[in-house]
Amino acid sequence: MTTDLADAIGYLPFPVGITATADHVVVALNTAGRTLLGDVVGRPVCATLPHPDLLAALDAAFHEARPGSVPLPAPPVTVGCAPIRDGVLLHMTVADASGAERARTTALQHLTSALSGAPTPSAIARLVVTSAGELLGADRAGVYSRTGATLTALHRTGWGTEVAPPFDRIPVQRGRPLSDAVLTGVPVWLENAEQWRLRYPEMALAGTASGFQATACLPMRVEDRDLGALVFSFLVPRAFSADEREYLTAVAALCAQALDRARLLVAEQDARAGAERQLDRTMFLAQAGRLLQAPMSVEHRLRRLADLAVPGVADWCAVHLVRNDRVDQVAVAHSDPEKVAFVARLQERYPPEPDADGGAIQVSRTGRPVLFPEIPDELLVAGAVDEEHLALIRSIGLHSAVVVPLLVRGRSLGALTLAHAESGQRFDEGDVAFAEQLAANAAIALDNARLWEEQVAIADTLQAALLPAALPDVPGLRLAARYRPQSVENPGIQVGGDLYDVVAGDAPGRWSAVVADVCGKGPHAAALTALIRHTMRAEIDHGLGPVEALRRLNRAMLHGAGEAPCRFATVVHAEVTVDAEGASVRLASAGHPPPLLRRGDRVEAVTAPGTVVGVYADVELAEATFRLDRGDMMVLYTDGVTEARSVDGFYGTERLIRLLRTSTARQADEIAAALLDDVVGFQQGRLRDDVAILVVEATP
Amino acid sequence: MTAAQADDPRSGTVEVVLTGELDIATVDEVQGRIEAAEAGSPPLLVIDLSRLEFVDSSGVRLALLADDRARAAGRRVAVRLGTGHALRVFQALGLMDKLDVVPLSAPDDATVDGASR
Repeated sequence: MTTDLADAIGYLPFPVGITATADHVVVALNTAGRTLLGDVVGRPVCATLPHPDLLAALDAAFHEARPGSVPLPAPPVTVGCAPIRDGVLLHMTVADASGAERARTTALQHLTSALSGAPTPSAIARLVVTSAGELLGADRAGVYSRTGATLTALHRTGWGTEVAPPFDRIPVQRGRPLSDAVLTGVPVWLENAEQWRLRYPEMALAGTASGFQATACLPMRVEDRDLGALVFSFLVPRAFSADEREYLTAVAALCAQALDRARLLVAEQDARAGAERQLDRTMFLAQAGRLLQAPMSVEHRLRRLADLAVPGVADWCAVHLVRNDRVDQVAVAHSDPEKVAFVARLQERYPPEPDADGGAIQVSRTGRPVLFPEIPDELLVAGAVDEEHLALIRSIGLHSAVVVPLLVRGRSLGALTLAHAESGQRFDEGDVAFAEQLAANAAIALDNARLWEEQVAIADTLQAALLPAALPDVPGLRLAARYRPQSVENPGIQVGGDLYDVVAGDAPGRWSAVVADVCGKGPHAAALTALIRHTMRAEIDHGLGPVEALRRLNRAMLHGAGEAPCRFATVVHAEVTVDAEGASVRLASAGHPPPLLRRGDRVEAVTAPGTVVGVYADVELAEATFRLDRGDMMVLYTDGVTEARSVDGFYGTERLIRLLRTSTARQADEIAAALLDDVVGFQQGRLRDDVAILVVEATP
Repeated sequence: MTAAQADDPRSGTVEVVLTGELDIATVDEVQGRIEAAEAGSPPLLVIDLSRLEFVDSSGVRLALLADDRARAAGRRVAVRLGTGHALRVFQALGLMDKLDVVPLSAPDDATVDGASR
């Protein structure tokens, strides 16, 4: 009967098969059935069409003689199960084409919208595998991305965990279906085991292992970008209809576009992160540059630089300097002061080995940078003196380091060390370039700082040469002077242009007090200050009075002004003649701040208008004469006093007068000290200009 | 420190108005502005210092140098000092009679001419 039936179905134009036994083993299949399912005779039909509904329908037909019909998604057939004696007759109707078409269209629409929300390549791959795999009833499905000659699984399903790892990464190799799809850009369709054997004889065994029959490999390309391939495999033979091929090609295109978008997004994020990192570093360099220009001592700058570098640039930062034949560590920084203290104790106990390979000392000497992307434990072992030392070094946990020389004009001044520890970060070649840039800035600034320190020393020396070492002892007068250069934190550390002097005149008891302020700073100003001092001394020695001495000075300045025109000076010249009751004073002022007279609790300004010297051939100068009675004081000063500024405004003449009037100071020296204190305090200790004060008191 | 330049095409007068602090830190920048203003050889260059909060001796020298160059080139340089800090500084230095000082009012030809010597 079954045999008759089997003969009978052979002629039917639609797929028909017969199963027998409770396992529903296929015992007969007509030609159309073979085309649809492959040669599955002798195997349980559920191995080929593994669908619970179908199994239920087969069971119902076999055990209960109940006919039924089950639509299957893949292959898209409706399987009718008719009970026959000792078995079930399967009659398969290829599903309504328009229905399958609708299903595919709907699936593509869903996939499209779902992919638009998938953020990562693996999320995209999972969506594609799930959506298309389910629609087609694939037993295996995977999405592979291509990187060079390797295909890497973004997501795959159906391999079973035990074989997963070998298929995560597969080489691109001509003569394999997936690779061929990738290399040619043309899908590879293998509808059954026979096609495997024909087209990929070498691969057929592997390709059809575990009963696999049909495979579709689809390349993913967007424009000229090769993004990988999709693979769908089936345990049943299946003819990929034109519509299915079209559908899968569409899926591959959608997947490719989504992956391309995600890849661009990732690249963009990487670029942005890189740019931000670069920006951070540029800002750091700018910050470091500003810091290194600050007028501070070399070591102070380097310590500040090291502090600035942690923890943003590195966990640790150290700076070494070459000094004569030694290399000294001048700065170590970590955001945790405890750790800095720990290293200090460590180094005290175990002084650094000067010849250590790649160490800061060696780099300081060789001038060649050293990069340790990873600090191997062997290096620590090699550098350790004993077990305890090694344990201590290990406890710091350095992972990666870069050591670059501080080079100026080809000479190595020291080394900058950046190291990563607890952050777990690693330095690479790009970091070496960054560290070298930082070190170059530091080295130049360092060089400048050394010059600066030299300049400060020279300026101090010169200044001392321009001021009297000591004021003379003058019978009948008490003299006091104060000089304070502008704060070194201010730019333009230079020889100041302020001058005070007291010199003997041409007659017994006659003395000249001079206070001057030269415009500007630096060598020109210093030269002019020296000129003023020597000219005034000479003219006073010649017995010239205050006005005439200033006129001579003006001519001398104009005479030598060729190089630096209009470099003017304000000068006050007081000729003091001591007598029994005190002193008489003749005074002239070339644009200088007005001298003040302190008479008991009264303070008055001396009016002696005059033009600055050094600019005009004709200067208006007027002589003022007055007496200093015993105990009276004449206070001469430069505009570093009255033009001093704070947030409250100018110090000004009024404050000066008030101070002189209310001060409890009794003598010239006390007044000079009180005035300097007040001016310095007024500016919170930061002087914007030099201050010179000269107090002449008629001894009470 | 800012330096703004205003040109009066009718009279050819160029005016450089300085605000902020003119001292050793800013004088080089302002010197550049003044030289730029001189490039067109204006018959009158007014340097307005009246709005400065502070001017030190290097700022004064800037004005003296501009005046020096103008005299050598047969041009005129005038300073506007206003009533504040700049006026006090220039007065103290005895320079009021040495420089061409224009009053505070807006620069029109009549006042500038009237103030010139």
